[in-house]
Amino acid sequence: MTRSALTGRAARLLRAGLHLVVAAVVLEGAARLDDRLRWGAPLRGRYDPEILREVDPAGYPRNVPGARFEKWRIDGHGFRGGEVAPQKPAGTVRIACLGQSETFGLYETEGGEWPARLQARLGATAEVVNASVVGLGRAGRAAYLDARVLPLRPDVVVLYVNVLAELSPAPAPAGFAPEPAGAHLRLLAKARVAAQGVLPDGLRRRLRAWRLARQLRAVEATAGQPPADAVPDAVVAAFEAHLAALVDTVRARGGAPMLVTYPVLGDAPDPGAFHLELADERQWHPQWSERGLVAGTRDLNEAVRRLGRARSIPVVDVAATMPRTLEYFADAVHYTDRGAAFVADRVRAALDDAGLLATARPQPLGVPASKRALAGSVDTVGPAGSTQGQGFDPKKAGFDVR
Amino acid sequence: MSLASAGYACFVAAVVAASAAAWSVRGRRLVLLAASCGLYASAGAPRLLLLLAAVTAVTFACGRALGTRTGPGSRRAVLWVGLAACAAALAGARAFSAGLGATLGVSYWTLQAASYLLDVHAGVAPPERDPDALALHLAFFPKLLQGPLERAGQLLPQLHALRRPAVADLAAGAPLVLWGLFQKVVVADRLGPLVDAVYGAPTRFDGLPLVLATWLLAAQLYYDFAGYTDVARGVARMLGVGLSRNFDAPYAARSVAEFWRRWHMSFSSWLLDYVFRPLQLGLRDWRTWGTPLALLATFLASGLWHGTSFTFLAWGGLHGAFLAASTLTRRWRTRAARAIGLEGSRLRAPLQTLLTFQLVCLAWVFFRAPRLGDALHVVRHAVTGLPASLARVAAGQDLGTLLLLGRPAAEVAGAVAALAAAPLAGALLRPALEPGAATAAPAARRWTLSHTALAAALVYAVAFLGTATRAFLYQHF
Repeated sequence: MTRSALTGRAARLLRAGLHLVVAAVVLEGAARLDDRLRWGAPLRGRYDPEILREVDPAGYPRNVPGARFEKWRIDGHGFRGGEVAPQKPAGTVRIACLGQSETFGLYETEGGEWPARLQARLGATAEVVNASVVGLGRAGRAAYLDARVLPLRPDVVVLYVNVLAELSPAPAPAGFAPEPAGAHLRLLAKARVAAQGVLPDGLRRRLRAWRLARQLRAVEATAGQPPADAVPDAVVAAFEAHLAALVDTVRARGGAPMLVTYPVLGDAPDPGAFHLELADERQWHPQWSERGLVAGTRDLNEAVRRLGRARSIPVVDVAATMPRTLEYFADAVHYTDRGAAFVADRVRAALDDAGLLATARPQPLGVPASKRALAGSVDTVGPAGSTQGQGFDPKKAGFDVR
Repeated sequence: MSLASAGYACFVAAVVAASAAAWSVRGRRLVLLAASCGLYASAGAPRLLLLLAAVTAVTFACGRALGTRTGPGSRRAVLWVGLAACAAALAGARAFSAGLGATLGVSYWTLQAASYLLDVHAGVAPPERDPDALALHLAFFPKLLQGPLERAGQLLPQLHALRRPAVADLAAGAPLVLWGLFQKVVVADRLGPLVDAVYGAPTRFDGLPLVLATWLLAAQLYYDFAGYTDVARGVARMLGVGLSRNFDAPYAARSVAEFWRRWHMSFSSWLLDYVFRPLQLGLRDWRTWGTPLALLATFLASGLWHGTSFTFLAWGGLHGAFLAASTLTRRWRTRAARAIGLEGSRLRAPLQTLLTFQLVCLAWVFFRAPRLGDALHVVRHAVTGLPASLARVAAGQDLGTLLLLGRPAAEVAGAVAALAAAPLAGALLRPALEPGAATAAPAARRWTLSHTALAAALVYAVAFLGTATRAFLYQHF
């Protein structure tokens, strides 16, 4: 090859590389500008779902006050939704909903998560606080309840505990926010979601099944023992004790606890119909088989009912009544708008039945020390105004919902 | 399968690969023919595929007969048999596809078959010897559903010399596809809900919203149809086939006649050659009235081709009337322009463009309105209600209905931004897309870094800013 031919080839390669660089810069710039115009996101810096939560120095997970990501907005106290005043409005019942991702809301349209729907149903007679944190496990729940929720002096605390997570409680996380690989390139996350959106449903499910099967094989190989089909009594007893402690804490601070059972899509007359959804859940709980997960869910839900009966606590038995279809569930445990509406309706009815809507506690004069501490923890309040997420899937984008 | 879908992209990629792997010109033709038939059948129209096969067979036989027969009477009889087959196919498809809501391209391939027979009869094109070439001429999938209407002299020679798709073809076709998709999914489909909000229930609106919705309708129709055409041309280009341009900035026209030289050009030239000119010739004894009558009849036929409802007839009739009036009043208009000092004025061209656009919009009202009564309501109330609605806008009253057409502000802002960006992007991209538009240099040379930047922005817009795709509007004809 002559020298001029080599030079020509190098020039062409250089030109092609330059075009690629320009295309990449424009695509990334467009993604950032789009986020800015659509969601008010910063042009520079990190922007992914993990900016919504952090681990408090006291060791429990909490939402980052004032944080915003797409349709999710955290208020100045670290609760999802509109701003909560430390002093509740006179004559209203304050209802705190303590849960995890199911209560925080993932797949619903903005304002469609069940606590927001409950607020809409109750109107001005009550103030519903979505005091949930994605991934709030047993290790941090009591501390979070004590430090973040009870200082608001809620009249009612709805305890909506993810019983699947209770089958294999994780230790308290040291931190949430390791930046996912490639997170600084916003285009990548969007491309991932868009690519899933263009695949036909059948192909997408097959690909997901194949990927899950591979992951589960790897996890099971690491575990070194076959997944169990039944949950030991000790697990159930430990959960019941934990829940009883939460109930006692709420009562000790003057609140009325309310319990909610936990529906799982796979707990259906034909569990095989939702094999994929259950397999998805097994990623987080590899020590249990699909049958084990369903059996464990039933056992722990029964423990919730038992505790309710024993302590005279109203129980909203969503697990017994919610239809197991994909109209209600976006995956094995998270709700669609319809599912969230179902839960809101049931909680609303239970509040009525238990007469808890007329139990407003008087606010003490002045702001108590606990509330001053709470107010001191407030960072900045995110700007108002946000539109709905466009089918954004928080789990797929790396929002670890355990 | 929508042209703006991942499925269609995979289909095109597979066809390009198969065509590149084919061993001969005939092999490539057969690959494209099989792909075209498969796509047509999968579009939910296996019966229409049989109809296409029947019309292709009759057209081929008639073409061959026209090549062998010499007697004028006999040739005319063969021609009429072929044309009758095309007309029967179109009428039959229209009658039986009422449930489908669309004739899925029958209107296009029957016109192409008819023009082939007319050209062979007139000696303009030779009779086709290869049945597969003629079949592909009629069924070539990129243009099967919505055109452009290709003449035998333009497309058949390319099919006889069908080359293997090259990298240069892909590089030239891909930007056209991208530009077409942008026009469709980002611009036209964002305008659709705004237009539908008013035209879905026009009697609920008065004045300004009717005017705004009609202007948006004009833009929606253009970007939808031009988007389809550019996707079709880009895909054809990837397969080594050049299809005709169908649009040339139609709303920049200074007269309705010029509009028709710029809008749906392949169809308007078909009308000109096969309907208007024979009619004009037949009516030459009518002197002053011959041409206007021929124009009126031509555009009434155009309206009927679009559909048999009164609204389409009114749309065609209006365009015919505009053109007829234009020929009858030419001298008077020149004198009037001179009298008011417009002749030679810089204002004349923009005023002509503005007036032409309003006349075209007036006709679009009939094209879009579901019923003649709705169209008449829009026309009447757009004019009579305008002063009152403008006064309410000035007073800041009811802006949500008057300016936003009852839609969310974010949706309207998105549509307006897309509408504003489209002409700019088109002006920047056009020199690179159209060979010979600015320079005769090959596509790779004309492509600069700024084109890459623009293309990347369009890729982002198509992938992330497009709305849920709606069906192409002209697919219904």
